[in-house]
Amino acid sequence: MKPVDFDYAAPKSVAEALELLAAWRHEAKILAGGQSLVPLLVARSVRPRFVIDINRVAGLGYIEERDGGLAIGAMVRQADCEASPLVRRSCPLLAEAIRWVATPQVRNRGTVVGSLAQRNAISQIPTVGAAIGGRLKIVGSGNRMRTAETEAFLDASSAATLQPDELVLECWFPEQKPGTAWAFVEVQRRLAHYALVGVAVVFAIDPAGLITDARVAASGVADRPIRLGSVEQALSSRPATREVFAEASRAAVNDPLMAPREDVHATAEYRRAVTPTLVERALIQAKARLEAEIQSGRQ
Amino acid sequence: MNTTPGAPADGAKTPYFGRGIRRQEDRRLLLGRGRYVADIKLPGQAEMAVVRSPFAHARIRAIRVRSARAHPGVYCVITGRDIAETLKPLPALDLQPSAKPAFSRVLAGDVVRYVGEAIAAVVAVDRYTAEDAAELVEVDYEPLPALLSLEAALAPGAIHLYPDFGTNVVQTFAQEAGDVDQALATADRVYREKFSIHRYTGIPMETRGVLADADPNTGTVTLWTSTQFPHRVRDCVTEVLGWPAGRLRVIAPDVGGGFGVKEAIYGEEVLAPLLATRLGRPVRWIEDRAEHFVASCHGREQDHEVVAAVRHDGVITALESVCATNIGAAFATFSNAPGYYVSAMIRGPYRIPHYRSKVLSVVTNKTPLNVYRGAGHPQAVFCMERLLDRIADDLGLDRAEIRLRNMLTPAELPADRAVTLGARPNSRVIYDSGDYPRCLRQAVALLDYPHFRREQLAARNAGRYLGIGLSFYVEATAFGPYEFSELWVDARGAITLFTGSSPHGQGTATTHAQLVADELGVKVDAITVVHGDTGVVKEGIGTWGSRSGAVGGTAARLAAVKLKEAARDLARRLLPARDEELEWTEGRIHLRSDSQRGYSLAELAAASAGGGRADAPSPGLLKAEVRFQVPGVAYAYAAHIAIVEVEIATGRVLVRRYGVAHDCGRVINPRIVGGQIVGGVAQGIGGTILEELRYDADGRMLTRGLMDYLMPSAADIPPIELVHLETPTPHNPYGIKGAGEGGMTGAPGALVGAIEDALKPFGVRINDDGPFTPSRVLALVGKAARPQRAPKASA
Amino acid sequence: MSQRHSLILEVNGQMRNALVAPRLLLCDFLREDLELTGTHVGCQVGACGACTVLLDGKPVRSCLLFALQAEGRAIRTVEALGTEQALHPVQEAFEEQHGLQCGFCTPGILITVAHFLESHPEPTDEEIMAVLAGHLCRCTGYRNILAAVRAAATQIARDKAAASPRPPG
Repeated sequence: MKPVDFDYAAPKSVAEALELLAAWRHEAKILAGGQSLVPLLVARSVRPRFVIDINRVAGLGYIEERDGGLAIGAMVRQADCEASPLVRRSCPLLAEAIRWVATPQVRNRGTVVGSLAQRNAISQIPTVGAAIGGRLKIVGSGNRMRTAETEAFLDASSAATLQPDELVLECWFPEQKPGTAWAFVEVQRRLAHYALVGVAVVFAIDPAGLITDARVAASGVADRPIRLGSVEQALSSRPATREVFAEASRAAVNDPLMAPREDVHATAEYRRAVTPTLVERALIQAKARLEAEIQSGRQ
Repeated sequence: MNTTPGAPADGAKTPYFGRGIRRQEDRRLLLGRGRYVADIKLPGQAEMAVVRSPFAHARIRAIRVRSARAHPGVYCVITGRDIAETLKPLPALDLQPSAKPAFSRVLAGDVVRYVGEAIAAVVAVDRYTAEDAAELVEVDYEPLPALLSLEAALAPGAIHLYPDFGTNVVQTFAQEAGDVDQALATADRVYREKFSIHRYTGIPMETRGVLADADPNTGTVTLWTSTQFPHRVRDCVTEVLGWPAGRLRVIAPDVGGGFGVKEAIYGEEVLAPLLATRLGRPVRWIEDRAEHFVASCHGREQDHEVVAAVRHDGVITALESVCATNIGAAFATFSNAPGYYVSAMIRGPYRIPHYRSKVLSVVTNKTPLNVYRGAGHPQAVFCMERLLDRIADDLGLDRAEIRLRNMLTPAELPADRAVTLGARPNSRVIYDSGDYPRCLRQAVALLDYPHFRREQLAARNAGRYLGIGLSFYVEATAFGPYEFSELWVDARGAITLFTGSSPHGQGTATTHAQLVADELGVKVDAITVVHGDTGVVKEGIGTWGSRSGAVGGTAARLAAVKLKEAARDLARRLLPARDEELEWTEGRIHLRSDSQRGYSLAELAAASAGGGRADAPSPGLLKAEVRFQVPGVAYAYAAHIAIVEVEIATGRVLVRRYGVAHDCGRVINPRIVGGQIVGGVAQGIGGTILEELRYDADGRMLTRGLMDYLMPSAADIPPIELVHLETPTPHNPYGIKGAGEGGMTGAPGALVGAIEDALKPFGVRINDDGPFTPSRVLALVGKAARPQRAPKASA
Repeated sequence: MSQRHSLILEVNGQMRNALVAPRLLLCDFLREDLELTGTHVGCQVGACGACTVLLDGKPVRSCLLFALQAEGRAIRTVEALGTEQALHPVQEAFEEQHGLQCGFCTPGILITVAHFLESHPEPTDEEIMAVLAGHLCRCTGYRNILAAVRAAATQIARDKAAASPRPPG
């Protein structure tokens, strides 16, 4: 388990990185956190001729509030994002989801953007992206900039996915408005292992006590994290009660986007069957958290 | 000889026996100064990589190595054809005379029979280059159908892995006690059950590794290898190579866990000495984790059928057991042993006077199977305990009560079980000592069984599913044939013990030093323990089968006894004095009447040098060596009790509490024994809930890394409550039975019992040992239709 | 073969330089080139944690980094944690609580735990479990590791209290 021979550069600027990428295209691999890439390299299932290490590119380590949301540079480590007061305040769902990513040691290297760029079906950060939306800033040869909606980017069949000469510079998540309910839950076979299924929910409760703006996303049930439109519809304008949560959760089973697959950790049937349970748990947890917040706000 | 372990020999103040002192081993390991095979580096050292079969079953049409040989940095490439003439097959050490010759080869010949089977070896400047060149070895395969399950291999019309044999059954062993047919014919009830045991294994944190270095002057070779039995490796490797045994020195340095995986002889242990000799440079091979999953032995996989004759009161009068072990593609060193232990020990602590057993070893296209912690005991215990649960439920008996009704009482011990431990000579099973019912009662009390039933009911009403499971094992431990030790005291008073025990985490240096220190009346840290080197330890059997404390430890202490006798002789002559005038105090022998007149061991060692005489040993040593031959194996036993919660919503199984009441004979170091038991239980939890070596339908392994094969992590292991009973075994003077494997042995039976108990409201019956993954559990309770099982073989 | 690159970094307080191939993993560089063999390699996919070292003060998997990525950085390995005469309190606690058997996974755990206790002087069991989830041990069954982490936390707090300046007077 040693990688194939490759050449390597650690450019200091985006321009330099793009130049290398333009030169090597399919034969290059971008190395950021490396926590998913290096295992593939040592298994020789990924065999680049050139590795472009972007860890030294200046100016990619920012987390900043921008345009009503959070912009996170390509070299921001998951652990730094998890610990950031800014993230905890304006996008707590993201901070919570990151706690479920691998292990603390891995999060010290793994990046937020990298997790999105890999579009893994069971990853936590893309699940947050699927739930609350957002966008990615992508740059290609000749400094050609584009923006991709996160949801479209995660869909392998869409034109928004990454091209061989492109680099993701930044991801952006919309701010979670104060007063929204949110939760992230997962079922794993073992602590700090992969999710079998993960669920992120966000919703608001209007003054009449009815659910609005519900966004529900699940990982592990399709080739990418998906929005569960059927659940969202079943929640819309309904009272935020346990009964409604239970009923709406059941809609997940037959959601048109559900296409779970079997792997060594779980059957497809399991993934389908457990999803409503997780959705329901997430909804209950989200509401309870919101109520606790309101309670503590009053005191 | 002082045979009371509680008391120190000859007047030393505090005995070490029975005290949980700190380990001698720890400091250097904690400082990062351990020395595992991969840590050793010699000048000019080259690295080996092995080309392995990607097919479960294929004919090799051709191998082309030219481009691999030409790759820069490559020293040599060899294939099976290069060595077929000169090397014997790898040995199997547990065969019946009638066994078929399904031997493993160092490198495959014309046929490969499992994914991962070694085909060629490449030696290069470093491992990176060796892997580059290994990819350049071109092999033309003609794939053949793969046979994976026991069911497929035993089916009529199945292909035969070895066509010459005309069968896939490569060994059969049978034995009988009493009259089973008569008992079955007159039974109140007859129960028939089938049980299956899945494939999982030890997964030591250190993979295997070897390093060989040839001495150009003498032609002798030193082989460092991560093994549990270096002397056995020496004997077997030289046999395979056709070398005199004296040409090879084998060293087991620090070994990062073994669990039976390293109680086998492997092809790389032959290749490295061979290639180091040919190349005239040291050759190292460090197994990587992906290789480990296919190239190191697996464990466990068996199918069982049992038929029991039972009285209305739950007493089992007869048992018939047929067990088939899926040994994989060829014999590993101990592929048959799990079957033997099933055959000998499945009745556990239960009387069952009439008994018949047949065990089969069956070949399939999987990695060869070897013993794994407990060998066949965990499988046997699982089947027996499930059977008892089934009968208890059926008769409306309490699960503890049915066990007590069948259990041998102390008055019935020693108990001749009228069977033997398979191929081992003089291995009639005679349970030695203990109090099984008391042990069971203690375990039941540990987790407050009656209280639990109330708690369980309350939880069920709240939608939570708790279950309790019990298991009881009797386990053959302290295997012979013998262990060797040699003890030196020099003129500076330095004490060195050379032992044939070869530990890999058991703290053997500490426990052996405790025993010697007590006997010599010295401080434990005055003793240096040397092990794992055939160059300096003359003989040895090694560390496996819960034997090192009992057999190696006894040998160590007996060497101290013998050394003291020699010292006493010398003192008698030097003083002079009669024997009865002498006594020992804290490592010093002196006149009873005048403690000033006497000698320390160091002084006696100096005196033995003979005052500078040319023919005297230099610099003066007192020496004693012992081969402690065991008169019979010992029988440790324990009751395990587990409480689990099954989360019906997600299918997760959480072990909430765990209790073990055990008797491993006299305990030398309770801290170390506790560590062995807790570690064993953790492996049992892993095997039952998380771990499975899975193949796809074509025989490719799906679990080739530690993200796919799930071992338990810290949060999976609950607090484990222990009660130690100590009944000495009569088989060694210090009464030690052995504790290395028991934690694992009792766990699957208790855990599966608990899972089934938790799922009782769903009418679930469980006849296999898992793993109980979330998918499996939801399938059991009918929430997700299809159970997750290994895909059926395509045969 | 690709060109070797020059590498300068600090390891256990010492400046080291070397010429290395780009594909050389940090764990192999530490073990083979610098002969710091206390850092072990157990899985090569970041799952087991045996290879954990501190990179600029943070625990990382040295099997998931290339040596060149450590250019200009500071690495700390188990060899620099304590000395024979003065064990680190975490090492002390592992010895006292029988928190190791074969010792292969131990160096990585020590690195993680020593770092963890600096930022979590009074850890809860849940926090300890979360950080230990990054390490696999096959021998101990973890219970004594858990006990050792708790004991080390207590000892470190005691040492700190003893070292804090006494009130005047």
